[in-house]
Amino acid sequence: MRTEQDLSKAYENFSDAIFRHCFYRVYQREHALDLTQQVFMKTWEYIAKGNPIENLRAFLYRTANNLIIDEVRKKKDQVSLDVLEEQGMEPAFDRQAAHEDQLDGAEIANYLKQLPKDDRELLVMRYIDDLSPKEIAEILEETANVISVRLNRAIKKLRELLPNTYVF
Amino acid sequence: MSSNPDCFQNARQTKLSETEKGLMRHNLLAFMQNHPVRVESTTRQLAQEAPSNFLSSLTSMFLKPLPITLSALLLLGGGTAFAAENALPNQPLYPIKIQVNERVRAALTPTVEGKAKWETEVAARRLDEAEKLAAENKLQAALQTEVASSFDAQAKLVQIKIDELKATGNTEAAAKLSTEFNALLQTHQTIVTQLISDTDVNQRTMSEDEKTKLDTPTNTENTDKAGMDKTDASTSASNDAQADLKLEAYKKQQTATTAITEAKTNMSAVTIYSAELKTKITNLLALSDAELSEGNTAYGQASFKTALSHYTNAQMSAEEASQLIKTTNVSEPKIDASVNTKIQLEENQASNLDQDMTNIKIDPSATQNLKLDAKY
Repeated sequence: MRTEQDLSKAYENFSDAIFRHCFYRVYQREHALDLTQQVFMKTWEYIAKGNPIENLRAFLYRTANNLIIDEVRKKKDQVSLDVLEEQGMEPAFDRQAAHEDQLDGAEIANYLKQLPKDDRELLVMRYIDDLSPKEIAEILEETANVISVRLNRAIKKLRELLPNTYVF
Repeated sequence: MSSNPDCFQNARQTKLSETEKGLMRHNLLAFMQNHPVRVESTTRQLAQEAPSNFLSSLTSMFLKPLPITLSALLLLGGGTAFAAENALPNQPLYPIKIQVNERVRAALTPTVEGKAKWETEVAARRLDEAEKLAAENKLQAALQTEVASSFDAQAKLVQIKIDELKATGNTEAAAKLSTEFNALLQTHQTIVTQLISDTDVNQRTMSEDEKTKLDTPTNTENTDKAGMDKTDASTSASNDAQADLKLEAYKKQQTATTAITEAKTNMSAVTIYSAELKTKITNLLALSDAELSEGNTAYGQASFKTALSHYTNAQMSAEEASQLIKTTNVSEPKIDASVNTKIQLEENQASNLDQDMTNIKIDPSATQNLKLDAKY
């Protein structure tokens, strides 16, 4: 049975990661903040109902994923790329820490946005969230093989978009 | 293939700020405290009690039948969230209205313009609440102070949002919102004046930036305010006139500040090659700053007519500076017209010289007398 301490510890360990995941799905900081908060609160609601959670980290990602999908389904107007760019994504990116010879967060987001959302989801989980294919499989409730195949396809598509100078 | 490709390295550094993390931690802890295990009985219990403090009122937001997701609750309004919409300051559901409902609306508005417009609506809500409280005779002492500072903060936020719109090049939307906000102040003139008076009376510590928006008065004004008897018919007319002037001055201060900010933004965005023009613009900006400062001093001394005059001058100087900046050709160095003429003359002379050279006929008889210079 999970406790407040368990979730608090999970918050300390994973809040940045969950926020990062949400951000690279919705590309708006405030929206990502609200989603992150909802992820933890929904997880607590689930725990408070007496439900067991074997892998808390996976559960948090799954919750985030479901929330994002639900929102996309409910929203009538999709935010266009132009609007997102107009809004600017500057605040999320730590320019000072950016390596000059590598893509900064804004640039990689631009490339990711050009991919279908399923591919984007996988790439974010694998390379930004640093989840293993096995962990991704658990979160998305698929087999590891299926995830590996889809991931390879997504990587190939991203490689086609990226300039040659970047290692990938 | 590396498991950490270079192209994602920087994206992996995206994270929460310390403030964001702290606030979210606080909210989560409060939520967990109010939702102990076996939530159903607690739900019933909490639903029957009026939330007694901010934390419980914040989290009672989430007391809903289980099938509804949090996001649906926020989007559809939920029972408590909806009821909170009519809450007034000091009422139990008011924290939900401002901390949850309004923040969610702001977060879900996709565009910069939309967000700015929403903040103007929030300012209208603050004025609405103040008017309702005043009508019920509840707008006194500590509550009035709270309401006044809340509105003051919101007004500043609206200004910031309008400035942001300008900074992103959306000057039309910025101007439109500025007009709408001024119209709002005009429509709610009475309550605005009352709230502004309150922010004057309370000597809070303000940053320099805040001071330029709404300067603090001297003690004389406090005494004068205390002495003013609103029920006295003979003084009420002059009080109204004074209040009108004060509102006018306040609005003009906002306009002047906006104009100065805009001019300075325009200035920093271009390169002005003409030294003369640059000096002129710099002087105009210095003048507008000085006029704004004088205006603030006069405002603080309750000389609203003088303040209005200074603010008007500040606005005009700033606008003139902006105009000059816009008319400057800044894509390449501007060549003086007289220089152009000079170049043209020289070119003409050169071609004439060529012409002359071909026309020179040497008189054969003259060469005999030519002394050849040893140099040649």
